[in-house]
Amino acid sequence: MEQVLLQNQESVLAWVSDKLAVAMRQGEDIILRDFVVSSASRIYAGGGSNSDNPSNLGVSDFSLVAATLDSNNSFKFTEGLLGENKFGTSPIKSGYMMLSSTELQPDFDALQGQGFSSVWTYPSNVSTMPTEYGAVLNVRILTSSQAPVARGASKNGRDVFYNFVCGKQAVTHVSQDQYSTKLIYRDPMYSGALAMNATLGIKFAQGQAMTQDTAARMLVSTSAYDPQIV
Amino acid sequence: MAEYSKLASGQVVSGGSAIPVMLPFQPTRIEIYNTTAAGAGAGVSKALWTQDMGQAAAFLTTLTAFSFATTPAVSLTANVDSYITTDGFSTMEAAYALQYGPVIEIASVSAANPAVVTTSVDHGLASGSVVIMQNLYQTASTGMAQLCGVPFVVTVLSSTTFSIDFDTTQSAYTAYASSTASVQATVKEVLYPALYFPGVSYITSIDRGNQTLVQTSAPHNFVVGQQVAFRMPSPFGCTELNSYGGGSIPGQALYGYVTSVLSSTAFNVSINSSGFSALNWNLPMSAFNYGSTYPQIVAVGDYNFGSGLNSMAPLGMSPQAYIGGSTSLATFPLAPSIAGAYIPATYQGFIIGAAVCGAADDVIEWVAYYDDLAL
Repeated sequence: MEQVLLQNQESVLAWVSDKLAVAMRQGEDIILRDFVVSSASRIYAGGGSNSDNPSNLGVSDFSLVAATLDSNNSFKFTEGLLGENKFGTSPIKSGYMMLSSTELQPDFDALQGQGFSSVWTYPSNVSTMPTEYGAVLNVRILTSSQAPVARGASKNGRDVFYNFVCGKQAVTHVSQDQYSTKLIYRDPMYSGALAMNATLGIKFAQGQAMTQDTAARMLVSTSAYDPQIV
Repeated sequence: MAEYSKLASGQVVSGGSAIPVMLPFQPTRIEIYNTTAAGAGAGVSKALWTQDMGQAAAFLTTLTAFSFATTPAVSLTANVDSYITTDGFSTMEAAYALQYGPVIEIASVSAANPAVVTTSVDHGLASGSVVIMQNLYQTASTGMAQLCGVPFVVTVLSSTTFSIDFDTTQSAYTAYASSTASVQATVKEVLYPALYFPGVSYITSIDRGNQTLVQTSAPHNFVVGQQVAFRMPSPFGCTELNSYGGGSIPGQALYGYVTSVLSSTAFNVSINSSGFSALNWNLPMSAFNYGSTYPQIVAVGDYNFGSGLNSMAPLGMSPQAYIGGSTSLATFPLAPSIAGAYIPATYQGFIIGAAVCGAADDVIEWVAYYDDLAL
């Protein structure tokens, strides 16, 4: 109650609280992001046409990564969506999840008509997530501005995007203390020599772990476009 | 203001190369005392650093023996002070993956074993650094673009040259010279290759036999007992190391264990590969024009994100990694408690550089400070 009142009354405090909360969760997300980048073995995209290694994403890359995960007996995350009698929609296959960069959205749009279905052309949006951008074959795509990218790291110097594709059993997390992220702070105290230092720390809401390496692959790609996002 | 200062101390035994020291802070002031060198009366006995000196600098005291050809002869040991700006102390903070150093133009890459890279300006690397290269084309069909984007550990030969442990005398590779090349090639350092480890390593050679000797392009960070899996794309051969081999699908893996670690980039795996096909890196550049997956080896299993002492020791393996350009494995003292492969290494601290780390087996006492106020 006190915090809400203070936020309402004090703009600077509200700004600090906002930034701190975002930073805490974002820090946790980035740790998970880097963790999977370093854990999943890589498949270099080769289905694109930009003559780079890795290439930009082509439909055959989605096919290859899905076939790899299928061959490894991975579990798909989502059930297929049956076609419905709605204009402009098409059925969606059961899917693995792919975490990708918002910077690749133009690449996905370019695959429209070749296998990419925008989330708005799903027959139903019951199982979609706010960050879902669409699907190609058996891969449903989530996009984030915080997705991993290695700037200028391809054969020809393009940005390299790490698209994490996984089945259900690939990664798990352990929720801690009712899934709460906590900021821990204790003032310095001068009453005794042992407590003269302040304590500042963060307790994360969850711990992550790879549980099945064969159910995860990193589909590594470049973009078909020169950097346009500024 | 005592509540903000931090102070840490400890002891390390030198391996003869740069020594990373992990701390819960980045120091602003560092002191080291080499008790072995002081006892022997030779070498760098103590060295100091403050943040204003800049990265890689050090103020050091070297014990130097003098002899005077008098009668009788007189021998003295003198403390000689000096100041260096390379290979001294540096701080480190590995907070996010995929960080790179500045882009440096490449003047040439030789067709040799090992290949030697010459840069147009000082590269600023140290032996043990990991780099990636781009645009290694001489023409559209010649050069060594096969190596672009692959992380390689370097051995520094001079301020503008270094070698990578790769044989570019193979027929599919031709030397690169920027003066006549169609594209300017570049190189940049991968700043924190061991941010999470062991990670994914690219395989550059395989010796087949009762055990499989694997060479990686960059430090593998495996320890003995580590369970590993191969991902061998068919163009590179040796696909028998995949249990689901053949075709273009690097499928479910045949698992093996690391039986011995020979160096930061070489180790043996408990898979009998005697009858397997050979690894073949002699692939034409055209094979990489539309993407090509590299042969990889990955760890299997996981560590959780806990930070308590390793309660499963000795069942759990102590996590170790090659960091800070060191050729010795650094052990992370706060091992997680679930045995497996991956742990996060968002480390910070400082590096005792090659010019102040003493000789192998030297015992070094260190003190690190984070000052209240630095003006």
